Amino acid sequence: MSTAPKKVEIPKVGSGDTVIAIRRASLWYGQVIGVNDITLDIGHGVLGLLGPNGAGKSTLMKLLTGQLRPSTGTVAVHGDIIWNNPNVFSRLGFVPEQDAYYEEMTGREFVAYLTRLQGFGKAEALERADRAIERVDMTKQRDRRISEYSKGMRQRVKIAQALAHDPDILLLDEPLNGTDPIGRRSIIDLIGELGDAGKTVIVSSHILHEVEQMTTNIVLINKGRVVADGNIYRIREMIDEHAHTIFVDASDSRKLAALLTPFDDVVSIEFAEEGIHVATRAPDACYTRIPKLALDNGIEIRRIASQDNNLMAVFRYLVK
Amino acid sequence: MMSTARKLGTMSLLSTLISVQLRQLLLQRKTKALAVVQLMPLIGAAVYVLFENIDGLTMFSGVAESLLLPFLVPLAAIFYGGPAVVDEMEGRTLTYLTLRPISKATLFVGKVIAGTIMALAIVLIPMLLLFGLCMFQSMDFAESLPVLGRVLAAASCGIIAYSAIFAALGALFASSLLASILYFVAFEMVMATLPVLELLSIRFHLRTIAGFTSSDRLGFLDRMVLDQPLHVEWWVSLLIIGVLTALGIAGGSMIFKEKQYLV
Repeated sequence: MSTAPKKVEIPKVGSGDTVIAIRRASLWYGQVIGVNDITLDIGHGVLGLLGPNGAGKSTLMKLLTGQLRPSTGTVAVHGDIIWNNPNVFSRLGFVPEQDAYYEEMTGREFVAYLTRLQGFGKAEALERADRAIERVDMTKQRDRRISEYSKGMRQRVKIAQALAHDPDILLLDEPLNGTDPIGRRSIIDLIGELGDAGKTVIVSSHILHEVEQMTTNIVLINKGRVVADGNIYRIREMIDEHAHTIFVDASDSRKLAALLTPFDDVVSIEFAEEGIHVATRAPDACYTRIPKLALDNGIEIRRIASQDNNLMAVFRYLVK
Repeated sequence: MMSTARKLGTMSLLSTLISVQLRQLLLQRKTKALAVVQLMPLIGAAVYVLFENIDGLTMFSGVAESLLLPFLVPLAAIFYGGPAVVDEMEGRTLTYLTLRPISKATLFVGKVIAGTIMALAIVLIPMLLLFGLCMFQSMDFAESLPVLGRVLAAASCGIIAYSAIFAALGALFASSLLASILYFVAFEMVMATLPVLELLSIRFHLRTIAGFTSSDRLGFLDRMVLDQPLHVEWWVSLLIIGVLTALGIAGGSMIFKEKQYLV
């Protein structure tokens, strides 16, 4: 009696053909495991790579961009192994998490230099740099030195360098870090446009609320493992059972807290040293409401950020 | 909209990398600091040449032998060769470069070439100025030219070899300064004084290429082992320098290609 080998179904996220194929990829840092036996096919469209800090998102991003070699398994882009394969990089753009730049350059020089290294002549690299900078709304600041940029501007010029050569595949590691609400909105819209244009866009984040504005396809990762993949609404149902915490640093925290208290979805408000933690069961409504209340009541919002406690709750649920 | 073909050839990307790197290096603060250091012998020599009755050629040879080849040449390589790729690691900008369609080996070579060109400029220009100053005093230009040629050749060889070795050490240890200094102390200060083993030091060969007498360079240790100081022909030294440079470049490229850097 002969037994045929059991066919293992490979999970797939995104539409169309497989662009990135991950096969049993693991990576150890000495005794510590960074990525643990991940097998996944990634197609076209926007994919959210979600996980709490330290979950292994950035390590997986580094494997997907060929910066690190898997200890076991493979990562292939359009069928080609990516490690030490520079040809792949003409079709790939990457926004690294680290806040690193050639500080003495202007934003325009920075993007143009990296675009020239994509094989474009000086004039075309400059033109492409200008277009990419325009896409991230940085045209007015393009001739200022990067060292003079705010955190949000730095983040946007980092995105511009990844876009300028018009890659098919884009990987963005925590692209919304440090951005203001307007900048965040425009980056989210830009990512959506790139996905609609049929590109493969992978966005890592530890904030579910941000990712769900970009895509419905997500991969949840924790301790280097994929704990869930697929449609965000399934995950959302799980998360709705838990309150979502938003941190707000405002000029008058007490007044803002008093204004938020009457809303039914607001579960609790805790005062912290620099602001308030608002726990809500309707984060979308709350994100819209807080800036509006502040504006109507003359309160200055210095920072508004999502806490990942709720995401942690989902992870705890998933890994149980 | 402009639309030209992408040039993804190695040479095209390499030349882009080198030209931009050179501009970056030129604007760096360390370049200004090193330029000041490299100009110091010129200032010192000016005092002697203008106010003391010292032979210009002797002054030039003396500065080259005691200061330029043993210290200023390796110093320039420590500034530009070692940090060729380490600066990108420490600045965490390496990611941008390694995600371009250019092989890591080519990146390494391009960075080393740019650093070496910068080091050559920052050492050789003050040296030529020094020579000009010394000639102003001695006026014996025809007799001095061969000396200048030998010293220029030795300094250039030294910069190229040191830069390649320091860059390879930087790629290996992901930190250039300590590794370069340790190498310099072990090979160029300790080993250079030991008979026969001195052949492994770059300093020995630079002195040979520059035409400085072998009897000066060794002293009693050499005579304890050999009847007379070791002597090799200039072309042998040139060959050994070439081999050491090639080993540095090849080894560094290989290490940089295969090693995973956590940026």
